[in-house]
Amino acid sequence: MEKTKEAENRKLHATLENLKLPTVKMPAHQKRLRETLLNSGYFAGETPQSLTRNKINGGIRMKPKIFVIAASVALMLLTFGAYMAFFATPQVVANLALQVNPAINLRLSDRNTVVDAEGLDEQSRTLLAGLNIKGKEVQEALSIIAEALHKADFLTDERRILVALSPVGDRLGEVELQTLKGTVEEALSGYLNEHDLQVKVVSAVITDELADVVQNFNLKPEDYVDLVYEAGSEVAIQALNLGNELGIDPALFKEEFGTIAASLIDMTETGITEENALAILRSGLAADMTLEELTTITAARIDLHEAGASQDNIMAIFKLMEAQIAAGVDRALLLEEITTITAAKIDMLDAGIPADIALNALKTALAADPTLEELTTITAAMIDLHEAGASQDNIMAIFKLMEAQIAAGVDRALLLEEITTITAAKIDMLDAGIPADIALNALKTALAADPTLEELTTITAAMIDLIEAGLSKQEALLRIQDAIAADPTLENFDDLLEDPVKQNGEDDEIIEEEPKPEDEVGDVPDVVEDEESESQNKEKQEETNDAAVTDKPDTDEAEKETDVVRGVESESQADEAKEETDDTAVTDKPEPDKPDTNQKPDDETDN
Amino acid sequence: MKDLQAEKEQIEQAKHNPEAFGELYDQNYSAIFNYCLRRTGNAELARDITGETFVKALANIKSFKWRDISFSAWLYRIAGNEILTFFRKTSYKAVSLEYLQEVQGYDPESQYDLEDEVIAAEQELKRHVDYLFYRQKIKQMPVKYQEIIALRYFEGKSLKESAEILGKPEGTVKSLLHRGLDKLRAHMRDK
Repeated sequence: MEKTKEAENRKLHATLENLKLPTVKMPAHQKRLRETLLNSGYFAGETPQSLTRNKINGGIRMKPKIFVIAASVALMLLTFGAYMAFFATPQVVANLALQVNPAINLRLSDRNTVVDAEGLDEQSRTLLAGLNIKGKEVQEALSIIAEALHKADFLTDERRILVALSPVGDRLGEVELQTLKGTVEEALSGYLNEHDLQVKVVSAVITDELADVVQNFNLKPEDYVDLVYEAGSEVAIQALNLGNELGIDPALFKEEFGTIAASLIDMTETGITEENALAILRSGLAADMTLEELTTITAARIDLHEAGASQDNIMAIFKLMEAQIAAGVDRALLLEEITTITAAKIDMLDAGIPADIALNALKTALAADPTLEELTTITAAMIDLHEAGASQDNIMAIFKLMEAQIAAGVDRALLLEEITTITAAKIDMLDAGIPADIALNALKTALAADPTLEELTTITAAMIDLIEAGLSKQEALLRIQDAIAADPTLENFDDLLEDPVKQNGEDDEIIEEEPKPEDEVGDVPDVVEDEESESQNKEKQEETNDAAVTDKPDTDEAEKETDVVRGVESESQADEAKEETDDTAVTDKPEPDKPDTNQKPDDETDN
Repeated sequence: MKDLQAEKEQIEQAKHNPEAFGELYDQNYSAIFNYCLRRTGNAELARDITGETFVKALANIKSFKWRDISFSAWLYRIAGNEILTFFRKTSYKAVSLEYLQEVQGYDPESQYDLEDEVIAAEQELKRHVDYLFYRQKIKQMPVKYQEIIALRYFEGKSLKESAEILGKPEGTVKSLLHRGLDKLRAHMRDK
């Protein structure tokens, strides 16, 4: 089957390689777009990206120059108004936290000046020591700070300037804070552009509530500005509250909050709603209180989201993990392998397996392989079975079968290692048109006969060969069972099957006269599960062994003679099997006037 | 193959010099447009996505790091992201380009030749029945397979080039392509 698949893939590859493709020229559009790009003002210092952002964010749709004038007038009015209202003493109305790597906190007055500046780390304290910014206007103070940062080589290409503005008291409303934010951005960008520095400014206005929380946690802008920029203050507060809520070590939570925020941003950027992202984060943190695998967990969730899994289905993985942990599986191992577990599920979703079924399959796979060493092999096998048309029950039956084998003493590791072989054997049978339940029975027979799995595909391939040679599915299964019973070592398995097949070939005409309907095979008994049948098989096997030992001659004629003996035994076994089949109310018994292909014709004994 | 050092210099110039950017644009326009066209099967949409791709390239060329990725691969990557945006949102608006045109003062009269081109392109698409058949099948697959199959078979990119464009390891791309073909074969069976 694998070979056929490869051949088909090669053919498809060749077809696609030689596919005639449309190639279109668009000279008018090319010319027009070229003009638009080259006249964009970008090369004169404007950046189309920033113009674009205004529009995308739903900003005021004015031409840039008008916008700048309007913003300047608004700023002047604001500054003038504030100045007139509080002429006497400067009053702190806002905090400005700025971080490149050094982090600085500025307290701003109602007169738009810096009341005081505080370094939040050693670097920034050293930096501020040489600067005179107290009493200076915000714009000027920021230019001085930017200059100092530049000289100290902090404004390299990879860096970003993060700014968080928060109100102090209630003097500044949302509009005033946004205007102040614009002033700050303008001052910083002005310096950066003037010095041709590729440093991005990311600024956000945070609520006073968030400012308090941030202060309590002693966080720096790098920990939360991006999150506020992407998702707003409310989400940041909820995220910050998760530490207390879940009882995570506060020092660890603080240290890792930047990572936590980045995880939230990653999720929201891929389209997961803020509410869902917070729920995922909460579960992720609860599952991993040491926060060691947090980004792995959220990345896995994002992958699932992108693969089309619903929020419920994403959350179900956490439940599944907790169930596994409760069942004794090591939490660290599960967390370490979360990507593998998720990838396994995504593969199943990609293969078109419905999410709930994929989750069940994953549950089964995890139960079958608690060490997770063969997890993707197992799920890949499940996918192959699904793609081969096996039903959910039938896929799961393989695992029940495996558990039965393990209970019977077969090594779990061996079964898991060979899961691909086992499923490939089943798929081959399904591909050969053998109904799923019969294929499962054949597999059971093969596994029971060959716990080392060395001859597994030999047995199942023989089943296919027999059916292709004209035997009914039931007859083929019985023939296989007889051959195994006759020689449990399987050394003579092929030989034991060969003659009946040959005979069957001679009987082709008779079989063709009265072909067996395909649908009869549906009711074949469950050979292995049926204990009675199993014990009868054992008895038959013992009888056959006895006969073989007793009757086996030492001469070159041994094979022929054994065949003769086996022919007789086989005949009686077939009759017994038929009786058993009748007893188990199987409708698939041969019709009275139809030759039993399991029986050798008289003339074979002449051989 | 274009001299890499020359391309590096050209990109550096394009960061400040409109003519240099214009040259890079001319060298890549057709490839990017046809990539968008073959991915989307829609000439008008391909035109919009191409426009948006180049506007974004222009806006970000200063942050372009030549050592990470070739310029054309970078353009393919931007275009791929735009196509993904289209697939996710089901409707697409060339926001940056439209805004740029609005700022410059858009001349609707020049629309006529542009529309003629779109009509001609749609006709050209219709002539390629086999391609349309395969595109239809490919379209039903997850985007990650669509893009690797399109890059490999529609654009004739090697695994290495595709890996560069997609920003994924070559082995991953190889595996994606293999699985993509498997899936496509399965889709073909469903036809």
